[in-house]
Amino acid sequence: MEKQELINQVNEVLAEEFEVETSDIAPDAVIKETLQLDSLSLVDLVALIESTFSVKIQNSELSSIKTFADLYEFIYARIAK
Amino acid sequence: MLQLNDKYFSVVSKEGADNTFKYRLHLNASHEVYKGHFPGNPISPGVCSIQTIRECCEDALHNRLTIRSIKLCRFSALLTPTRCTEITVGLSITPNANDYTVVADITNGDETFVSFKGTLERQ
Amino acid sequence: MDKPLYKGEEIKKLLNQRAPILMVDTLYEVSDNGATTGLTIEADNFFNLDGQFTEPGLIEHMAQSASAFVGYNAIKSNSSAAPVGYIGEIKNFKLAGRLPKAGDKLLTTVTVQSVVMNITLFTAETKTGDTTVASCQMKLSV
Repeated sequence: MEKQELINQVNEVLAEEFEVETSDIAPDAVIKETLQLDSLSLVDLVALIESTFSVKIQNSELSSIKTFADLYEFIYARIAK
Repeated sequence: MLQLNDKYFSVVSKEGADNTFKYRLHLNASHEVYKGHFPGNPISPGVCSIQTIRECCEDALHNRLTIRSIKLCRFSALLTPTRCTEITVGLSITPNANDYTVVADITNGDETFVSFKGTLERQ
Repeated sequence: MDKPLYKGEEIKKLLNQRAPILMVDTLYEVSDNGATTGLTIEADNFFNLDGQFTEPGLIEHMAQSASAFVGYNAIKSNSSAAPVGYIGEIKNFKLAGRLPKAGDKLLTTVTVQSVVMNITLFTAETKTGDTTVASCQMKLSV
């Protein structure tokens, strides 16, 4: 999958799940703020990424994913190409 | 027998009409459920909050109700009856052909404890 | 089913709840990502109303079924005491048919979908015999 295609797909699934517009999602924006995540909805994010891309985010890896750009990089490095 | 009104909570005040209601409730920290939830550390069980919402709806609608489904119920903060002795139950009830869609919350001041959306049926 | 893993008084090692709100009496089986539990509904169950085991009771039973799984793993892996679990969120609870009644035996399967920080996301399905009584998705905070 091309990187831009991945970015578009990530944005679409996040927008749908968390009821925001894809235009609200900026690469350097902090995910928790843009999507208004608390600890309960963070679980939904991890479950969504796993079910959509088959990429698991371990607890120890969560703190390194702050912005959407971090998330794109994380998934891109791990998806089957 | 499961009935929380006048045992687990008592109604301080009720306002509203038609489809929107607000119940101000006093919580009884000596209720027997706290013996087991948890010993030495009373925490209002989430399911008792759900039952509280149901009983308020039954009062508002003058009918016993079955909880057919819960689309989402979030417990955003722990409710400790010794620390928070009164709560407000807000109800917004939409009648459908065969049942009611209930959007409810349990709050006290700025604090939200429960957000609920479900479908209740007349028994 | 084979001999249960935990039953009766032993269940108290897995769960912090006590009477009148202890809502699991048996842990039958555990797998990597789930467990099977049971509860026989006594006539004086806290959640009974007019001889029926009500919806909040079903939800509490499902939540404690997941807690029992978490407690079992806590004991097995670090020999620590079972942590206290709170329901964080319930999604898509469905009451399938009629409420169970006093005397019925519930059998519940919980399946863990995800664990993020201290929150376990799981699905639960409760049956009496072959009949599904209720199901839901739940987040448990420990």
